Amino acid sequence: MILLCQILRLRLKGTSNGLIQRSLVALNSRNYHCSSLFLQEYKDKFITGADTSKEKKVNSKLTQDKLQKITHKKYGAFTFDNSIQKSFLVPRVASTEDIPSHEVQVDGLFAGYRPLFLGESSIKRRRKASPLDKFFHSVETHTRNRESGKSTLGIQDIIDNLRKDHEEENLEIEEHSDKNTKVEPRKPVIPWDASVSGIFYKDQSFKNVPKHVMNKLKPYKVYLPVKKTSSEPQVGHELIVMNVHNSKVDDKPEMVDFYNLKTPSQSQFINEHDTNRLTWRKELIAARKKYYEEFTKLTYSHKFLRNDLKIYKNNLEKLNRFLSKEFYKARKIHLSISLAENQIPLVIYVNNSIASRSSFRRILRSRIYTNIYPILKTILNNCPSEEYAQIFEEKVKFKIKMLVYNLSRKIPSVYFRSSDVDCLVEYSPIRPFKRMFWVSLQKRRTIFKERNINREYVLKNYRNYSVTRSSIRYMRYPISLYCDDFNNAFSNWPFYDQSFY
Amino acid sequence: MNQSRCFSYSAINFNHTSQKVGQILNSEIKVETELSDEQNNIENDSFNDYLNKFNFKVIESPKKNLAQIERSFDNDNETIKIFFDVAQVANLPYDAQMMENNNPNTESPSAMESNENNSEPLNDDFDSMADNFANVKVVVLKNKLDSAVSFELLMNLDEGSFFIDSVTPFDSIDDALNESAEVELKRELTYQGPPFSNLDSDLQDALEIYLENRGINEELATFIGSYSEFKENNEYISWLKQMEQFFN
Repeated sequence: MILLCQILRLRLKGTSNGLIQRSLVALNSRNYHCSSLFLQEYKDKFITGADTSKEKKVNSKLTQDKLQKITHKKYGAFTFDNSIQKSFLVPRVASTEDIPSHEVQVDGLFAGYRPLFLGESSIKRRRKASPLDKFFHSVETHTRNRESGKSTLGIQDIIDNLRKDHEEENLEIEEHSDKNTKVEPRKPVIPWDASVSGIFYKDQSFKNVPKHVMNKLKPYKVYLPVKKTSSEPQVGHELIVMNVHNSKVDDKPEMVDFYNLKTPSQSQFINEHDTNRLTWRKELIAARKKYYEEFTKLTYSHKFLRNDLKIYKNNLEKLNRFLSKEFYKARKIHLSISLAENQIPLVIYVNNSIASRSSFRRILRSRIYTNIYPILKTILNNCPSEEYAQIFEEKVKFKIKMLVYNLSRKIPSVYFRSSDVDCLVEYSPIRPFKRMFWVSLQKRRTIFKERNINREYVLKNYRNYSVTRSSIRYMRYPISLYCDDFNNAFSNWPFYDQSFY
Repeated sequence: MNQSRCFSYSAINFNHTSQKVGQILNSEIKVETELSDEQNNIENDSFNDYLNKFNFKVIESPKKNLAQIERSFDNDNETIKIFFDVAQVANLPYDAQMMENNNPNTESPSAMESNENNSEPLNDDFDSMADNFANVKVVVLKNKLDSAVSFELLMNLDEGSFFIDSVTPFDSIDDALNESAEVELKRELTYQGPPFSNLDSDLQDALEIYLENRGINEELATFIGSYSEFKENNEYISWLKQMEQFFN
């Protein structure tokens, strides 16, 4: 975010596009997961020059306040108002700054339908500028400076610069020769143009495969987990850590707060409290991860949950496809929107009441809005007129409303019933807590609301009569409840015998 | 014929039985106070750790089953009050093996023998205990704003886990805490929010983290267990003393 602000400030000061582009590259390379949409839009508007006239006007007229207002209005999440504390966890991707360019290796890539191993192919070293290039660069610099009325052209200076560079190069060569270092010849790199199509690539493995078969092969298959035949999902061993990069890059997943990023300089001053907090946070993330793994395992273990999830996903994908189309119209970019959360709240399978159905609708609405919010904002910002934007927004709202209505009618396909169990218990990602789902609502009422009836407790409504302190009634005996976990309860439940709703 | 009639009268000594009760009570008090002094010190240490760590203080409530602890922070702007019923916790079924497993320092010979015979804990016994819960109420007060939020919890003492059942905001601190029947009825009629499990999982997470940050954790469960035992013992001694006063 700090970089983002700097970019905006640079823009205001009229700094060159090159510097801003470098800043944007830095922003990307630091992997701050800043909305690519924002960057793309910013690049389009201010850097590519597609809207140059507007850009000049903006440069001359916009004050920082105005820009802040615009940014706030357009990108609700990118607020400059520090009073609003937001939190959004995103995975951190390790920085690649410490890896020199000549060490970056491309071990495996996909070319067409198959993996292509390039061995020691590396990014080419930056070509050293020739003396002629340097000469033209000096002239160009002078011309630019002359436009701003600052500089004078000195031929002697140019000659001196060239001479100086030449001397530095000689010095480098001498150093290499002193150390007797030999630059090893690089292995030949398999050319890209021969491999991109994947047809003309001479690969022994595919030598005998007919051309028409190769043409039909596709690089990826659409992953549809709901169609899996195995009852249990394949969960990797916790000790196996997949390393995609080399040893210098830390591939361990770590979550960072998008709205509360700490720069490396800040992290040097982490005190003991922060360290404890950091440990606590890591534990929390691990617990959350475990919780969602368990949840996913449960979902794929039971057929009725799988089927409901399929309905849920299919309906949401319809909306996503609609938005993708609109996004393409607006930005000319194909977008694949993935669902942020593929979980149906379990409470709806246990509690068949109007209140639980209302809660389910609320949860659905909230999830759908969260999922589509950035895309919707971008589309609205690119609408030709404000009226059109309003109409479109209403249209999306109506679609969401219908989607929620349909989903709440179709899901859940079945309700859990059991006379043996009072409540189902689920683990919570927050450690000392667990979650209770009441199967027997009568029992809940007895415990929390009307317990005085069963306990023969008479409420005397005299003005000065002290009934209880802070509404806790004297419950002399502990509450005994028959609890079970979801997996056990669903496994032992002959739900096909129950009436479907 | 003068016949004299004899009338003899002796007062029945009703105090005799009363004194007997008094004497037994007296000896009971003596034994309890002598033993409990040592025991209290040990138990005090076990629950004082929690109080010191999270800056909670016990609000004394003599002759009441309801116990209360509270903590203020943020320049006394926020206060947390935790209520629980001592009798409810004290009446939990006692499982000797489980208690000994929970507290390895106090291992009895019988437990050691049973551990030798069977090193694995009996899961069935744990399950039978896991179904017992106690009510815990947490009320968070914002003093400057004069508002309060109350959390209705169930606590599983064996596991040290908490289950939030509902969260209710109140317009004023008085509405949340006043003991009068009128306010009690008002509380009863207030909309107490949806059941906690009906809320969005993010909101559930956030509220649980909020409570966890304010000291509602496994250590609180341990505290409630040991403090309930301590308070129950103290109440018993004061009950003995009051009885003794009556019968003497």
